[in-house]
Amino acid sequence: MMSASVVDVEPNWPISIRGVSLKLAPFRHMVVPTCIADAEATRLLDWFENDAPWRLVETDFYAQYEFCLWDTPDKANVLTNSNMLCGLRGEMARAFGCEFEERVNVVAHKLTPGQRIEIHNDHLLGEETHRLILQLNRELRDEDGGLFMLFNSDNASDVNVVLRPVHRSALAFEISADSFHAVSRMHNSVRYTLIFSFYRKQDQLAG
Amino acid sequence: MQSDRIDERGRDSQSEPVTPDELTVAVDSVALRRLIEEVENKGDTTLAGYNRSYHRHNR
Repeated sequence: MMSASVVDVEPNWPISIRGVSLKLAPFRHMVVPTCIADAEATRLLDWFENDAPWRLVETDFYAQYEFCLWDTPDKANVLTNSNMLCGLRGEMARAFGCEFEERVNVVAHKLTPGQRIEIHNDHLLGEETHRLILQLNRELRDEDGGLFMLFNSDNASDVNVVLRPVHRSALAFEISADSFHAVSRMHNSVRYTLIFSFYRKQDQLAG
Repeated sequence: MQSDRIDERGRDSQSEPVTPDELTVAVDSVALRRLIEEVENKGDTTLAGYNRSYHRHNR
């Protein structure tokens, strides 16, 4: 069901975070109910499910399939289009009240049953400062897992909120030492995400 | 009032209403304990870091 806070995505611009207010706790973030146009979301799901170049990555705190969209210019097209990224960067800048460098990372992740991402904060000095995580899936149910969890501290018991990976929704957040988050274990089905990473201009990083 | 929502632990529910995307889980529930167990850090690794191996961008 569409709520009153849902914004229409610009017809010629498939991804948008406009019209959503910033939340300050547990860290600066925004939940975007509808972030991507339906037709583009369907196109991406079809691609992800059939012939995207997934590569399994396993570390000590997560296991997932990944690929970089800069490696697939023919299929990624709109997602790595410079005008689209410029517009999205501008929306992120207005939402978070800062300016970003031109460079943007765009990667795709896939979680399959049994996979999960333990609590972490993404905080690496000199690296990305803001993230936009867009959910794509075939209408996951709560029991399927893949829930996005935000924490008040580095203690996994200190949960602030649990967000459903609603298809076409997104979470944007400011990376900091406090931006602890995780993804619960997938039990059924498959959870796809598109991750756009932004770099705050260096002269704005102080404080 | 007894709190039964995890979103009331760290936020002011008066000013930040629950959105349709938020899952309500009772604080002392088995469901929440299971979620916590699934994501807690089980190793000696630092919690700082990003789950990505790609680091290429458009410049």
